[in-house]
Amino acid sequence: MDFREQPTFRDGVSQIISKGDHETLRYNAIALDRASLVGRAWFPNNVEHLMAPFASSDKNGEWLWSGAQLILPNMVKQITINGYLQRYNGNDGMRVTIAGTSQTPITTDGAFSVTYSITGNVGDVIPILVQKYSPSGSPGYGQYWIDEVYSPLAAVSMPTLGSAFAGTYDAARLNSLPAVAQALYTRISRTPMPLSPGMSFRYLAAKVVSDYEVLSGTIRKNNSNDVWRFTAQYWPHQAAGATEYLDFYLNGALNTIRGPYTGTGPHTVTAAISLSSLSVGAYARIEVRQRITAGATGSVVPTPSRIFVYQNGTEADGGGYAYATPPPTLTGNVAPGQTAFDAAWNGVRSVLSGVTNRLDGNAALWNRAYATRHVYVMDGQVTRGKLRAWYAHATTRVGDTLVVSGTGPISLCWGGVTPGSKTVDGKDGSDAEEVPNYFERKDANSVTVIEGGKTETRTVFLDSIEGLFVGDRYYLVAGQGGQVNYASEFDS
Amino acid sequence: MTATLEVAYNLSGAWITLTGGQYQYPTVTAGIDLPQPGALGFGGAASSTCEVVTKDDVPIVADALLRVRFGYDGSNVQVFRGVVETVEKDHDSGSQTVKASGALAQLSTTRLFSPLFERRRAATATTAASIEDTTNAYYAGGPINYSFWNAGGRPSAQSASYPTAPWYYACDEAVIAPRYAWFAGEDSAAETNNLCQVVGGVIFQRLDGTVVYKHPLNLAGGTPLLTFSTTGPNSASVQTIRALKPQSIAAFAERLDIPVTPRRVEREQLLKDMTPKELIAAGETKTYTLTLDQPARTILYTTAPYLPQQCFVLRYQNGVAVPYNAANFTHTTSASAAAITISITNTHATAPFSVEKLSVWGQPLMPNPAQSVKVGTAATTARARTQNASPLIQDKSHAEQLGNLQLLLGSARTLYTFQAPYRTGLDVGDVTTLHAPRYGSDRTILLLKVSINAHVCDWTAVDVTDLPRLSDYYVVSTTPQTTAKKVGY
Repeated sequence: MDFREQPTFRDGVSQIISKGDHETLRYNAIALDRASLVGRAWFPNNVEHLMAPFASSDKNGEWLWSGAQLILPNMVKQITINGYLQRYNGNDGMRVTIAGTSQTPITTDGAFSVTYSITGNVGDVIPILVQKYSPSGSPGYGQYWIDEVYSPLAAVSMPTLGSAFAGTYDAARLNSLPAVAQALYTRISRTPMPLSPGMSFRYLAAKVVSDYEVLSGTIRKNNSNDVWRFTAQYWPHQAAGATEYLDFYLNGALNTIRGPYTGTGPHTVTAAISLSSLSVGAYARIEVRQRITAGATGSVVPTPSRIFVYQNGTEADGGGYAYATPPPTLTGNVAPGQTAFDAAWNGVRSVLSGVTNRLDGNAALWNRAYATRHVYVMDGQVTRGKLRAWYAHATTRVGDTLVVSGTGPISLCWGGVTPGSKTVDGKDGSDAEEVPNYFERKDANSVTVIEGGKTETRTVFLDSIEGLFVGDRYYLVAGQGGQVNYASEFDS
Repeated sequence: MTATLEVAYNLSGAWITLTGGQYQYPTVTAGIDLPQPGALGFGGAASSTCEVVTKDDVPIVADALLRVRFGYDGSNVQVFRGVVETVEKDHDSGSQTVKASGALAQLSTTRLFSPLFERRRAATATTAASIEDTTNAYYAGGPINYSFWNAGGRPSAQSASYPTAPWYYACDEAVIAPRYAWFAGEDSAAETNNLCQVVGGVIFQRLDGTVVYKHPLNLAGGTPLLTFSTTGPNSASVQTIRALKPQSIAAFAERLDIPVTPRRVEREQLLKDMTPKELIAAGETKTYTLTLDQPARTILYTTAPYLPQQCFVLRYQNGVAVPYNAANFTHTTSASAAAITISITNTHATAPFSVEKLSVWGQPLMPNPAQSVKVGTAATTARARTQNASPLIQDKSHAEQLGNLQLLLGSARTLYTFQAPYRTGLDVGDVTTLHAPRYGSDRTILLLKVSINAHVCDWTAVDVTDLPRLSDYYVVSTTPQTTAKKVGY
């Protein structure tokens, strides 16, 4: 966010009120309005699941959520976990381990919210692990659902906006505009936007006639006109006579069907699924499945279907975000008349008031630092290729700074991905025997963030990456031996 | 009415007044230069000067204070106060020529490292209550005020609190606040003049010794103090002049091309390091200054002013790293936007240690690629100028404000030179009326420069009839402003 340093005003010193002063405050108000809407469109998407998460019969110790938190300035040293638990029997529950220390298990059925204290210094990365807890050792067909893992941020004192302008332009009233803008900027710029571990490229069914989960997870409705927006490229497997579809489930119910897809592809898949049934701030479980309804049952096809997901999360509908009307501008060395002059300043005041209300009304987005969820599978292995997919932490660029902690090689990639040449060398951890028709991943653009073998926390200034623009979808791709431990973007 | 004159010098605290036979009539000058023809209101600071010939047995030496007061009937008003720069004796005539300069010359010998001023108006209005002491925790003055104070000046509106100040200053509230401004150890007079060139306004020293910053929309002033007239007759409000010479000067520009150097704040990173490789003996203190490549918005401290452990690589001679605690070493820091000074004291009882490396972390202000903003008519035949690049112009809005102000003030206008008897209290920076029927209707003129000798003033003035007045604009005020007012640039 290009938030500009703001003017201050003084009574009694013949300080001329200038177009430049108004322009700066107007610019900042517009920037804050935009950042408070667009900046959290994908947020938190903290719980996109890599495998079916809701019911499991696996044994004690199964990983339910693994991730890390970076201790930031102004962060309350706590970890809060919100979710849902339905135990199979009275002995089951969730076990929480923070920085290697076991915490009090979660053993209450129903929605829960637990808070644990953490220690450490600013810049420390704290590992967090939630596992299935089944002391009896018996399989439990319970439900385990983690919605949020976050640390609260210390409250920012919000100044009060002065009353509306009506012919008097005193310092107290004028200075309340930059003061409120500065507090809003602090609230927005300090809040990390975590990158979600999402599937980016995946091989799908290798057999015809199947019903195959592409991805599942949870999304959050952040704005009143948010929809579940999905954008992907799809390569059908080209088996003779096969008819391929993608089915979109919202809270367990089939909502939207895309397809049929035939031929070589790639086909562009888009869906904008209404979330009108949800209230702002509510979560919804989502699932995308591949369905093939024709062809020879059980036949192995020469090339599996493939999909590259560009976008999967909440975003404003076709009408766009409900931006505030930009305040009127002023012209230097011209007398605008009192009505127009008042309107120019009240316009700024109105936008700032709207942003304040928006942040206060959706506090979960603005007073929390969400932890980063790791890429993992249920056996606890950090395996990107085993599921015949390249998982990557992803986000849509909003801000200017990316903080990444992990072990290299980690690359920042953007501009989409395409299947490259066939290879059977097990690259990226894929199993050559399981995936006979392996395709090399080719990212359109890529820069190294953390070099191979190094474990460190890096700050990446996104403006310094040529061609990576605000609004671009990008990914953190960990290569062989690499692992993204924490990743968040900041809009400062 | 009898003209009176007093010349005095001060060697060590007491003023010594010369007797009538000890000196000839001094020449005093003061005023504002136009840095470029037509560039009214954007810098041009000129120190006041005084040259007086005295007998060579008057013990005036360089660095003594010199004061000149003029008046009538024994009532003298100060017209010069400054520091003697040279004393040139002449054996044959038994005389000496004493040359002195006013406060701006002292400002130019002041080298300042300042904190970063963020969106602070280049000058802030001085009042009886304004906080001008730059060491005050609540200091919120502009960089020009900062430089004046640290060069020894004190606000004239608070002169009662500073009766022995070497000089006084008074500032308007500047119109433009650069995004970031700072002093980095250069000539303060040049730096403040640079500020004037990029935010508008002029700094000059009045005859009464006060250094003044006036913003460009306040040059035309309020009610003219008197009328200079080619026809007379003299009265309390009219002064007859002679040798009037109007000179037309072309417009400064009709189109301006203003370079902009944006800066961005980056996240905390290494700002600067150094490897002194010096031993500090037990009990000894050594001081190091790290001059930063780019100004720092913040310095990383554990708790200001103490730097974190990562900033120090200190090693005892046996190779063991010096622990970061007071039993081994302590440190103090003094930071400005462009430099940080670190003093390290070895607190160990006996063992010296080597300073292997010192580093400072923080948020730098990094320059982005330069841009350019065009202001004014697009006509190819227009008089175009390119503003000198300045690191202080950091965004488009600033460049447009500056350009529009320059075009407003830099229109074609007339300079006047004329001669008039000294009028008590009339000073450079004042606005008067010029009545010269031969050249048309009465004009409002701004007194730019003066040279006084033998109670005769040679004035240079500029026509500011067309310029807006402060009262034309909306100002920050608790008083309602419901009549038609303009918005400043």
